[in-house]
Amino acid sequence: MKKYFWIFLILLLSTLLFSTSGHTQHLSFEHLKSLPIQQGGRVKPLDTFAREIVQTVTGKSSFQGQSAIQLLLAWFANPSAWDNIEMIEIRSLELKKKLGLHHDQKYFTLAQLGHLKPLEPDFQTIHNKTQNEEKLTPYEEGVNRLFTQVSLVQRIGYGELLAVIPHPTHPDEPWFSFIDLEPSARLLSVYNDTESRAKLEELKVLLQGMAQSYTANDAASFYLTTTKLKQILSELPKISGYPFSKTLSLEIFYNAFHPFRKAWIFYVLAAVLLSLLALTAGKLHTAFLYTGTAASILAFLSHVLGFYLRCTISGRAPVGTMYESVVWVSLVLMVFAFFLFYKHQSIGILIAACIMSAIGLVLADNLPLILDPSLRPLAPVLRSNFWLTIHVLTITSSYAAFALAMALSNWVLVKYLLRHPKTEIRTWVQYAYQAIQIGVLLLAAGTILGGVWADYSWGRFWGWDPKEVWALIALLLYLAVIHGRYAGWLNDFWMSAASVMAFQGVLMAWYGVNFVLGVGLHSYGFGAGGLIYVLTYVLIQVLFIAGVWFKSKP
Amino acid sequence: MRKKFLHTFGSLKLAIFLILALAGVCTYATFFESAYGTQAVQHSIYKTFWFGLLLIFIALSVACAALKKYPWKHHQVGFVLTHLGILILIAGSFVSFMKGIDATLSFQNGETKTHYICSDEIFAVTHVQTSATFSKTMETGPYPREDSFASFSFPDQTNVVVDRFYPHAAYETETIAHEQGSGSAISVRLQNQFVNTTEWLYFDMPTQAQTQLGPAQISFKQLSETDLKYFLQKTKKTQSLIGEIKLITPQKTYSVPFHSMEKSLQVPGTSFQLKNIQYFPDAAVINNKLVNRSPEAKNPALKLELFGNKGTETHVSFALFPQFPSTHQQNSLYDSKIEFVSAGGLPSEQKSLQIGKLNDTLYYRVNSSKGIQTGKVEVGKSYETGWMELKFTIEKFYPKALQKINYRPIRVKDPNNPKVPSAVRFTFSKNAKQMHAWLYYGEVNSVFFEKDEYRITYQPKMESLGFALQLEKFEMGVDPGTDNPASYQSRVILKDTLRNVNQSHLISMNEPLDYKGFTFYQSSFFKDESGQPIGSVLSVGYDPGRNLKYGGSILMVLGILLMFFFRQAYIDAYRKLKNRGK
Repeated sequence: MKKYFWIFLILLLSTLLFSTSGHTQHLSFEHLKSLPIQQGGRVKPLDTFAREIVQTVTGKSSFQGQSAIQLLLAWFANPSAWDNIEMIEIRSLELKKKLGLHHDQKYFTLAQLGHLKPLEPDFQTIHNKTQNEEKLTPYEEGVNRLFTQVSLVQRIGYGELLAVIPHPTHPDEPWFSFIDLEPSARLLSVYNDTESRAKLEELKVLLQGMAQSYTANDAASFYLTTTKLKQILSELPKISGYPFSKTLSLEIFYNAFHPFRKAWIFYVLAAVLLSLLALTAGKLHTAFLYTGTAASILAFLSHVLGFYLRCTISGRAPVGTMYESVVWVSLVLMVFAFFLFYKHQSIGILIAACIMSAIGLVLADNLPLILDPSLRPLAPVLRSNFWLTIHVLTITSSYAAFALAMALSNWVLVKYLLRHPKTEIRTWVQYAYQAIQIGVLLLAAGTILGGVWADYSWGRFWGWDPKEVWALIALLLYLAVIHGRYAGWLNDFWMSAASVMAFQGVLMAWYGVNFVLGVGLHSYGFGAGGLIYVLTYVLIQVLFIAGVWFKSKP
Repeated sequence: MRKKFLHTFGSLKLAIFLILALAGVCTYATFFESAYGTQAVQHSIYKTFWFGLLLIFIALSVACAALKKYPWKHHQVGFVLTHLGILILIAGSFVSFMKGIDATLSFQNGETKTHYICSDEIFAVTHVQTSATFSKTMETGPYPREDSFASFSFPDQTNVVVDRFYPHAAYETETIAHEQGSGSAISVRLQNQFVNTTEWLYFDMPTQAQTQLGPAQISFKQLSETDLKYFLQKTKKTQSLIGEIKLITPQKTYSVPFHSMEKSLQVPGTSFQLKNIQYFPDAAVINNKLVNRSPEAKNPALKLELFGNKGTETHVSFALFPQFPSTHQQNSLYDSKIEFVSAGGLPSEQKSLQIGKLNDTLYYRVNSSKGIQTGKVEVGKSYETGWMELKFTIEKFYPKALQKINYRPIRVKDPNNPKVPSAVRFTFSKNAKQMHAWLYYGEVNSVFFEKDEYRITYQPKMESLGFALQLEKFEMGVDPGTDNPASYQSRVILKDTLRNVNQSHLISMNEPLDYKGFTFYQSSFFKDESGQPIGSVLSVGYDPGRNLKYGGSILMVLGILLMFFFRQAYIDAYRKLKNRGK
């Protein structure tokens, strides 16, 4: 049996390894991916920059079969060719209506959007609102995004955004983009020696050469000019570390490998294979058991790898954004699940955990507008602080435990529907209870650590800030569950139902405070969108509990 | 009896009820905060008596739940520790709430501060002649108030009450006709196709008796009988005398007066003609060309052509330098010289509208390029000004007017970041007389009531630190290549003469300064008009309950750990120990 396992493992590994090498293009862009560019407050590879820009403009990671970096160079080398190509994604129906565009159409051309005049008053309001740090309405978000999209494409056409010429002396100074080669006074004041000036002149020529060879689809000269371009950039006087090959190549690998996507695919696979165990017997049963477990381990490894890469690239713990917390919670959930699985040898725990983690990662992978995956510098208050890191990781770990408890409790409710024996149900309630215990410990500790951090940073242990209060509410809800169970008032059914409902408190603390209430000191994590998904989930949970109660009258 | 008490208050039923009650109140509070702001929720929920009572009940329940199981068994260590931890935590919170300080301190670069600003506010009234002072310190809260929340009685039976408080107050001025009004007021409307404005002018207030509207000055003044005659004198725009042109020939000197708008002149008694006369009030030679720099007669000059029987020649004469030859480096055909004698410049071209008042009648005098127009003004009737096709109307005329300022509460969009300050109203009363005076937060003002001067104050309460803190410089770091702030830090010098301390410190985000029980945290900063940071805001904390809270927290977490995860291990270890003892 072991043989199958290893063959399967090797197969899986090979798909992992080879799925990254794509088909070769006529023009090669690979070597340009690692070109350092300064943008959004950090140095990143051109690859990441291209992906972020293309994602913002088209709403997709690649467009019409062209990779992000290819598209970026196309916009730069031949801007006018893109005027009539439908590539700017507009989602807001209200916005389409205002611009007189067809509501079924999803992508629009620059030429179509040439006249944004009707939106200018809105843009003024948005500008004022952002100045005052006010929340934007969904329509205003749409307008804001559209202006960004159009200006991004245009500014790349001018060469304005491509800040790839490093500032030679100071790492915090803005870098120079191709438009500065015109030349700008700032560029000349920094590069005042003849040698550098000559190099800058050469860069200009190379840029033209690059654009020409791109338009002529001349692979050889395109490769030549771009390689030379990179070389000259690295020959200019530079800050230490340039061209940051090590971290940037890690980031390119991270971009191409999609560790979290691979992780959720394998989590789903694991969940399916392990679920099939119930229907099979004998050899097939064993095969499914091994492959399923292996898939879950592979998924977890990919998950850990992605997480490790992300931390290494950003040089910090994942405490800054909603996206990072979702990824972390799914990861820790698996850790707890493996622990409980090891303790109780119950495959069901693993299935429930794989499903939950997969849901978390699928959301993180597919909702870039709500869960922004880009790596950004942290708000000042979040930087280089030990207590903060510990506090956030502890709190979010408790969310993971509660999410696991929620999944297990839902599984108990399913068992009620399937009329499983009471003793078996009891065991599963115990699993959920243990997950809740882990969660309570972590949430209590994390909330207090939050107090320690707040005391250290702001001078008060507890300030009744909404995020703090909701962490407390979630804790109180679970305390009520634990005390209710202890008193014997919550039978297995109500225990499970209560555990599921208490998780709604966690959801409010985790998502609601930042995305719904939008007040308080934790404003650095604020965002918008996704409310409809969350409310749908809450509604489904309530209906499900009611349904089970109605159906099985426990 | 004791057992019954413990069982009632330590019952699980009550515990769960209290837990859910607290959860419910907190849920409501967060939504309340989302709508009304942090200050409001603190005032209405978290810092109220009843919320404190709820916490006390929880503490009682926690204590009784632990006590009712006394004497405790060994496996209950975790349970007892957890509940004890919660008790200590709640106790610490009360200590912090009662004795703690949460204040701010803001200073500009270079400034030294010895006091911090509390959230409490001080209302004070001083009778200036006698220096009698009354004051009250209190917290006004986040809501508008219309009750007498501070009242002071002076020995002369003058009562002063603070009876209005608007947390965010806006004001509008209104002019009303009133018997007690000290002077007159008019409302002037200026109107054309593009402009339509109304201004109030107050006759007895020097700053508000005139106003500038575009190029024109509008003023309102008192006239006497003698003034009126001049006031009403009209003049057509005439040629005004600029000066005199002297033609100095070897035989004779001729003088010709020269007015504005004259282009050519005949020199009387000769065949000479002066043509193409150009007047430069403020002449300068730039690039070999004569140009004019301003309309003021700073360096008056004339350029003209002298036309005679031998031909035409150009002369330039500067009034201030008559000794210069007027033909530039050339000999004159006529051996003549032109000298220009300036009359001292043209009368001002200022456009103005004056409204004059004699008894209860209004007159106007408008000065425009068309000359001076004057006349009597009827309220409500429009008159031409002569500039920009503007017409003016005196819409209202109150011979006795009072300027009234109306304050009203407004709801700000973001209560946590209000751009509008709070204001209070002081009401003075004696016998049947009454007067109101408004003050914005942080203001001191002098008011007169019944001929006495009073000074009223509405300021934050300041408390002494017992030492001084000087801000050397506030610095802001940015993310590479952006304007996004990456770090905030204040370089400060701590000066304590008592302990002979003079140290410099760096306070940054997450790196506070601790001294004598106070902790200073980087909280915010302020900028000048160009956006450069020029000062820092620190929050000042003093928390005597900190140790209790930390201790309670540690006990609680330790207790949970024991209770949930190491209970069995603990029991086993205990048994082993006991067995070994046997």
